[in-house]
Amino acid sequence: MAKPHPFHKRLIKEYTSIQKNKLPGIKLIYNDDQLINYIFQIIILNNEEIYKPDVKYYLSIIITNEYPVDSPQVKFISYSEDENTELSDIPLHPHIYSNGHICLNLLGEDWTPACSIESILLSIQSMLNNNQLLTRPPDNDSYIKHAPLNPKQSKFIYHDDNV
Amino acid sequence: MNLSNHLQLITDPSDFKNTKLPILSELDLLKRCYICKEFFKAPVITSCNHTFCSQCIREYLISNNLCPLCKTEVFESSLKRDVLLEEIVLCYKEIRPYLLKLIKNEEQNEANGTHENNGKRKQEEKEVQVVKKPKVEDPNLVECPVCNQLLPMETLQNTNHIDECGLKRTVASRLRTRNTSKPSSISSFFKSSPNESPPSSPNNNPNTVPTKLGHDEYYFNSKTNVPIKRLAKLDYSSLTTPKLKEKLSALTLPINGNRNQLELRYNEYFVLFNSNLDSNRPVSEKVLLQKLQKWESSHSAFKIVRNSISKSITDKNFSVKEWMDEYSDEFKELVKSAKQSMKKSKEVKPEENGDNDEMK
Repeated sequence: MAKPHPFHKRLIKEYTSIQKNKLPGIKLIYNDDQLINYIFQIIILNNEEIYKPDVKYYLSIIITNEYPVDSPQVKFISYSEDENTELSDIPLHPHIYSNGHICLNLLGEDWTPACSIESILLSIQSMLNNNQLLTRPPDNDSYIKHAPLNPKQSKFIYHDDNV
Repeated sequence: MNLSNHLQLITDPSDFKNTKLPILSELDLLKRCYICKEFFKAPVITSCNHTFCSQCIREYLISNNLCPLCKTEVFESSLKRDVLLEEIVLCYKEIRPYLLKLIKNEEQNEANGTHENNGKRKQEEKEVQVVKKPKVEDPNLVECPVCNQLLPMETLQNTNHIDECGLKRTVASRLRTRNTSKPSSISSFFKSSPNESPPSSPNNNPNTVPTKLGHDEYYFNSKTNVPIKRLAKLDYSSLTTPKLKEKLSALTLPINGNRNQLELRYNEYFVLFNSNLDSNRPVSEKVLLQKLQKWESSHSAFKIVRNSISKSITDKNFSVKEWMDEYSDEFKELVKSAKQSMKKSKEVKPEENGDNDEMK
């Protein structure tokens, strides 16, 4: 078996806290034994005009070896919980690329070790809750052509801070 | 991994939530580092007055120069150690399991009288006697709560008479665990191993509560203004690899590996060394080297290249056949997935373009 993460204890704490205070609309679907790979199901509850509350989106969170100094790798994924349901969509949002990469300052330069998995979940949920535009980012086509698999390796241009 | 086992070893402010004094969780939280969520180990204070474990913040400041809590600029050189806080935390850490047990016990006692209750009451009775007896006899003599012998107050407080008394009464096995538990909590202070919870067996009788921890004496008597020699941060851009190797070997560090690994190794040792100096009870450099080794064995940057050190593709006597045999399965997998993704990208591409057009 792989060695436990250097901050394994912190990860256990975050994990139990996620299990305990269930955030509304967010459900932990999968996690590995090392507690470094997570898949969350997200339902947008307070933005019915834009997102239907019965549509499920799936978010993958991967904890890097340098966590919590370094931010986790976070992206939306096409996922289905069983064989009968279709793969989920990537939510339409001016800061979410069609390959699932998210342009969010918290995941890049604004990350600090004081943030946690829970704070990422909350800020992504609120980002979707407050969205009014059903569009992709303006540079979506050019970005996804050359985007690395790991969103942390791309340098995002923060288009605007209003959305 | 056995998660429930791990959970038992982990202490959290929420442990106090269901006790008589839930407010203690606040105190518990304040004694923890915001980065590792554990009790402060060698705490240091930043220029913006935030406190972290020395190792946690130094590691963070290698790649950033902002305070994780308030984002003001912080420099590694401006960190100041907090001697008193470290002693408070150490003291609290040792008391915590007993404290927790006591508040939980009382709840149990109210519900139903257990035999633990009796043990506690006995001790309380003895405490009452301790107060009463000196009135009639010599005021300087105090009864030992364990063996009932009358002894001068000073002997009781300053020697480990009570401990010895307690030991005589306990089984030999407990004797061993008790003897090792106290010093190890200090010597293993810097280890990341879960040594938080002292040996608090479920049938912990009140006799085993330590009567003296010595943290007050340490704080008032230690010389804390001794000048310390720290390791300097290296400017890698102006440092050649041979020079870097020189620096590493001067510190008796290994000099194998590529440039990136050498830099990582120095950085980690730099953090370990300097944070060790912030501890009230520093460990020897030998222990630091062991920690460095452990860190390397778990770090991803050292894993990949360790294979190629033993068998580099550029070696003259590199055996292609051996290599192919060893990795044939992986190669097959890679070819397979490459073929699949090629197929997929052909299929998917036109669709995606269509999607994007619709969106616009």
